[in-house]
Amino acid sequence: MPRVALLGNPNTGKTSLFNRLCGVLSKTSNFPGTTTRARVGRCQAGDLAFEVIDLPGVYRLSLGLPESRVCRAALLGEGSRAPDLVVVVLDATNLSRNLLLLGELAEMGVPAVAALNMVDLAQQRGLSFDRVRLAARLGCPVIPLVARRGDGVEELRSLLGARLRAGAPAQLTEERLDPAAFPSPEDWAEQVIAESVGGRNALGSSFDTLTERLDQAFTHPVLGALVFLAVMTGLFWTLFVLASVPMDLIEATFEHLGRWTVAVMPPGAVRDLLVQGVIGGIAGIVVFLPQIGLLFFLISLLEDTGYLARAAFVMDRILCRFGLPGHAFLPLLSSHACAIPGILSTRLIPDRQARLTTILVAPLMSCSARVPVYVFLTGMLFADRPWLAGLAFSGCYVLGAGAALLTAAVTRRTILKGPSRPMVLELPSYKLPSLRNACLLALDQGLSFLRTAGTVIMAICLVMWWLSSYPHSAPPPAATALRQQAAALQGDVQGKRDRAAELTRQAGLLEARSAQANSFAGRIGRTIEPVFRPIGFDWQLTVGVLTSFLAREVFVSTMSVLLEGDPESNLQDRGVLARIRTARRTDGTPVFTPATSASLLVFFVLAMQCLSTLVVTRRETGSWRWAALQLVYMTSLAYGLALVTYQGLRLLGAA
Amino acid sequence: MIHDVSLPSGSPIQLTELAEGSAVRLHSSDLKEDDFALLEALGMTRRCRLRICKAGDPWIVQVRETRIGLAASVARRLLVVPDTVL
Repeated sequence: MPRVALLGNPNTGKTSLFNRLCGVLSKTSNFPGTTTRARVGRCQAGDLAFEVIDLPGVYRLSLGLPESRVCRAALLGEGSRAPDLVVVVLDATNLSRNLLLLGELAEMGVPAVAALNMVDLAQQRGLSFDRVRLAARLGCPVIPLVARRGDGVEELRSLLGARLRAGAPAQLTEERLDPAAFPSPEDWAEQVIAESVGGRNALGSSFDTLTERLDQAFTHPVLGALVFLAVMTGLFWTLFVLASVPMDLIEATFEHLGRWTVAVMPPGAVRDLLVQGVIGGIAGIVVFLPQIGLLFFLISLLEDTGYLARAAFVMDRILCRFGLPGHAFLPLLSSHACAIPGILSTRLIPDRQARLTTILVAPLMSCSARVPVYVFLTGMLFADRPWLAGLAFSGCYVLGAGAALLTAAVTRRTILKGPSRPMVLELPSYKLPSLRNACLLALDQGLSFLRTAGTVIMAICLVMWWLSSYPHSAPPPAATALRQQAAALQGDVQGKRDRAAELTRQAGLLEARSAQANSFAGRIGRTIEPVFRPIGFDWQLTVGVLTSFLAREVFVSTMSVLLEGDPESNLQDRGVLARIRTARRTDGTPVFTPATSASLLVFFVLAMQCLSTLVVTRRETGSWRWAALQLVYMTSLAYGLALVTYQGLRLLGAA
Repeated sequence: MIHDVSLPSGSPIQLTELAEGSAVRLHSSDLKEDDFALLEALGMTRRCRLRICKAGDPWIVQVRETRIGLAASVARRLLVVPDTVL
């Protein structure tokens, strides 16, 4: 199948054109040997189908930047087949700079078509184009476009089809200006523009005055920070409010599906596998989709407006002290909702070292899955002092963010040291965002997550389910005795029926606790208990920590099974919390002392208790090495600080 | 045309010493080669005209049709000469 590559400066509307040409028929993949991602789609021109590759935005092919290297390699066919034709997307409002890329391509001898995008904005600014003369001077066809609206896209599609069918590139005419004949590429570009573009003196109109006023406000040290705060508050409020509706719906749907499966299938291993392993595993993946899709939808809208480039400068003043660029703020903030979309959005960071650092520290930010654990443990610590519990709750967020920033500072001075790219950014024109682009990006990111991370997460979910469900053990004698007592109490008297129900419930609790304790996970918990003993965890807490490795929120339900026995109980039931708080070991000592609760809290703030995040880290960094480093570092940090907390409080008599 | 104006006389000064609205020409830079290459790719070539749209961190300059934001640490490493032609 013939191949066409889209090449252009950043912010030229390349992705809009790609979406117009390929629609939703695209997939995201890495360039050979790199972690730079490209979208590949299929376009139809009459009876001819061809492949379209959206190359990364690049200012010049000759720069030593990673994206320039990737584009050069792709155009020269290094590692994969070279494109048959290259569409160079040009910003019509900024031709003098955009043409330089076309000049480089001409020197490489690569056949090209120029897509002159955003001609509507250029015309609003008083520019006019002599399309025929421009094509003659450039030596390639020129198609004026408004990719955002789809204007001119059909003409481009037909032209590409015709060129690909013909096979050979068009003959160069004598009217063409050869870049090699000019002292510099800039001189060549100026000459081409001087001969084919009119109205350049009209630039600097009222539109630019508005741009300057907005820039003054958005990058102002105080006003800019306030605007940024307002925009981010709006973004995350929208994310939390809107994403919670489909997330609740997804959870309810899978819960319903699980109950229905239990009702229609006979008990046994297959039913357990389907309900707890497969349905539970799929639910655990799909539930992330609303947050991922919505976050990328909102980021796309913001990026399209041109605001994000200004916001990066506002945050750069703070983050540069920790070795991170301003672009890192959005991923770090997103990680407070969930580290997965946070890590995915690090694609906004152009510098690879800074991006890797942000990926490594993002899971230290307190995500929403930690909230139930924070509520549970701060409630344990300060049962009768809600204001202290609230303070401890806030402290968890501060501890997580502080650890992330300090870790970033250390990382940038050690394993990922090296010069940061200076904060130099093109400030694109302000414009209305494209809803179509935002929807397509959200869809693309969601499907990409399901395809790559989802399959690995599913496999790990099944393994974790098996470890915590098998082997099945015989019910404990006490549970059997309770069930026999309950059976003997059956009758018509209401009091007897209530008593029988209570005995059955208690038998269920004992059976669940026994099953958990005798499962592989339970046995592993008992085996490695000595490792966790210095930080105050007994075997039950160790099992809780192990099972919550699947997802942090599992810790609370595991504790309720192990200590209280009822997996259906929740924190709204004050009786359950009180029973867990006062739970005692077989030797009569309390499971939760203030020192244990504080140690657990510190552990959960800092530990990497999320397999899905590890899988996404592997995917985004292109190596398990970074995921392993993240796991080892965060676990060690969590263990170390939990040890200091527990032993310190023990010395003060809080154990 | 821009390229046919020769470099004006006068000692180069740091970009950060100028006020908003100043029109200058880029004289030189002590940025690393790779860092300066990025500026060049954005259109900030030697002797190019640039207008200071905003002073202070970040500095915003306009080069031809491109608006470029520069961290103060970058702006102070750019030496410019005044250009009264604009």
